[in-house]
Amino acid sequence: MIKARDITVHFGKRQILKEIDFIAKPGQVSSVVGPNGSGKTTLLRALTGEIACDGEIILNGRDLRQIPHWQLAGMRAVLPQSTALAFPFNVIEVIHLGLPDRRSYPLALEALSRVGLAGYEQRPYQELSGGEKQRVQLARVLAQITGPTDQAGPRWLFLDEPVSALDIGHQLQIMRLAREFADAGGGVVAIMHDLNLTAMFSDQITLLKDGAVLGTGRPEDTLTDSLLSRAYDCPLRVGFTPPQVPFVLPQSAGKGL
Amino acid sequence: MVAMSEIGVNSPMDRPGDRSTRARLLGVCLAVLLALVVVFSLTTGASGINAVEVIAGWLRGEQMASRDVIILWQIRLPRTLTGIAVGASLAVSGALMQGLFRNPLADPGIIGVSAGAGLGAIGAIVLGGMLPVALRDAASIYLVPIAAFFGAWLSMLLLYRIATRQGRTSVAMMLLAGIALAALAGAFSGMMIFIADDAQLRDLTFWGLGSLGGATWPKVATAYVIMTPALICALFLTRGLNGLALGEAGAFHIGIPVQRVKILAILCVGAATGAAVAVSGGIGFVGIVVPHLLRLMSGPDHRFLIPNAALLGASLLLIADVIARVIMAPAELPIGIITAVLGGPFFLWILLRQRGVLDM
Repeated sequence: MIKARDITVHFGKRQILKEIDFIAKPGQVSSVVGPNGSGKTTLLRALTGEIACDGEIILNGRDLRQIPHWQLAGMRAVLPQSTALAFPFNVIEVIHLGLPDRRSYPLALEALSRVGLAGYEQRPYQELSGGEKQRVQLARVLAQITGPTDQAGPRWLFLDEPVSALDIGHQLQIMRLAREFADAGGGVVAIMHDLNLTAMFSDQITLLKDGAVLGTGRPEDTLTDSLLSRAYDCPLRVGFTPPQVPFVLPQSAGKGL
Repeated sequence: MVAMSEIGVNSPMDRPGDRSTRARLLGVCLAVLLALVVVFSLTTGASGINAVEVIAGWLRGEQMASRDVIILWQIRLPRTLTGIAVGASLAVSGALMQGLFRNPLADPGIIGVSAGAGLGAIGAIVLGGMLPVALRDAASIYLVPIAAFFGAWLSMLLLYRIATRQGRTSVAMMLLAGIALAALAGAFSGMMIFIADDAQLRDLTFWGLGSLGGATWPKVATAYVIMTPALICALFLTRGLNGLALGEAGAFHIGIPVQRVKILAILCVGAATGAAVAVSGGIGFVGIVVPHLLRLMSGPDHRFLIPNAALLGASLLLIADVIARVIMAPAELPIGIITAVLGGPFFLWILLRQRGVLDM
């Protein structure tokens, strides 16, 4: 369980996050959405321990600030939006970057086949397509929190706009893998841009605007016409696909609609 | 294959993509190469003595000709040992800087760190006379290397501050800031030379030639005292540098103590480059050529790259020094010319290969 209370972050004199409360449960995908500059990524950086913040963050029952960074690395992993590497690492070497040593080769191999890239071990990372790179990075972060550690409690996967640079096929692929991780008992916290993708894969959605929480809850509770229109400052309409999954359309989509 | 994995040999067959065995093997080959080059360096020079014969004779208990002993013991051995230290230091400095800046184009000579070290060394030679006598005597032969260390360290610190924002390094900022830094250090060095007296000018000229020729035992000792801790420290930064390939945030997320790795790497580069520049003047391109060749051969893993860079850097510098000694014998070419002639085109070749990456 992640319990964050009164999270406040200042960059210089500017207040980026204002007293945010956030809860994420293991077994669930908890997404954070909001317009550009609403503080989504800052919230993720606070929750992962990357930046200091006021307030309190409890991760698996422990105060985040009290957890040494090497222990933290066994409890949670972070998938960035995209990762360019300056050096010619091959795929299996990239996955090993997150692992303590080379004895964990089987672990890296298993993570690679989990993302559907078995056989890619020797491929130079720099020569992969954007979608393949992101899957290799996902394998890396999965391997990081799959291995044995002495840390009790569920493992956490943080995703920072993981699919923003990918086509729709790869978007679904990455999100399905995140979903699988949650279904297997891990916790997923995802910073998302695409509202429809978020609605499809999330158990809980938190809507941010100007560094504060505008709404939080199940997708159908958070993704409403009024909340979304307020958050994004444009008229948005929410519909529902048959099994009650919301989808979002702009109200005046051009072409005479 | 089954038998091999049973006895724990990780053949490339059962661990595809694992280049650690190849990198270790390469390390052994490089150690053998260095040993051969050392013998070569000891036996080559303007005078035609044969070190193998001298050593064999000494082992047989024969009386050696005093001239041979002097040449071997007072000239070639300190020179060879200095070459090993300088080559290893420059190559490891290059690998550390590239890991830190996450860029294969970083090199102490190219982005102004050597120029900073040079300013420190020149400043110490010219202004050292103004120090209180007691302090100058205490610092003695360490004054120039220590000043060079501070020059290199401050340049590294400044460059890193300028080129890196929010954990990301801008290649353009790094290279351009490096040019500005080198020009500035060059200008101040010029001023120092302007105010130097005749004796100091003579010291400066010898130093600035970029040669191992002035190697003496005290110099060797000084170089090793400063470089050895830096090179040993570098071996403990390898996992951190691997992690930094993911960016500072990425490194933090996998449990790397980012701040500590950065501070130590900058100190190591300062010490290694500073000491190398202090004993041998400006020798360029070793720091960029060596790590690049090694990455081509066995991959970018710093756990193998750093020690192998030390071995290959030492060998290459000794080879360059032998060429410098014999190509115009009995006159000597400054070794910096040899490394520049070999390294300059190589650098351009890397630039062309990196073209796509640089268009950011």
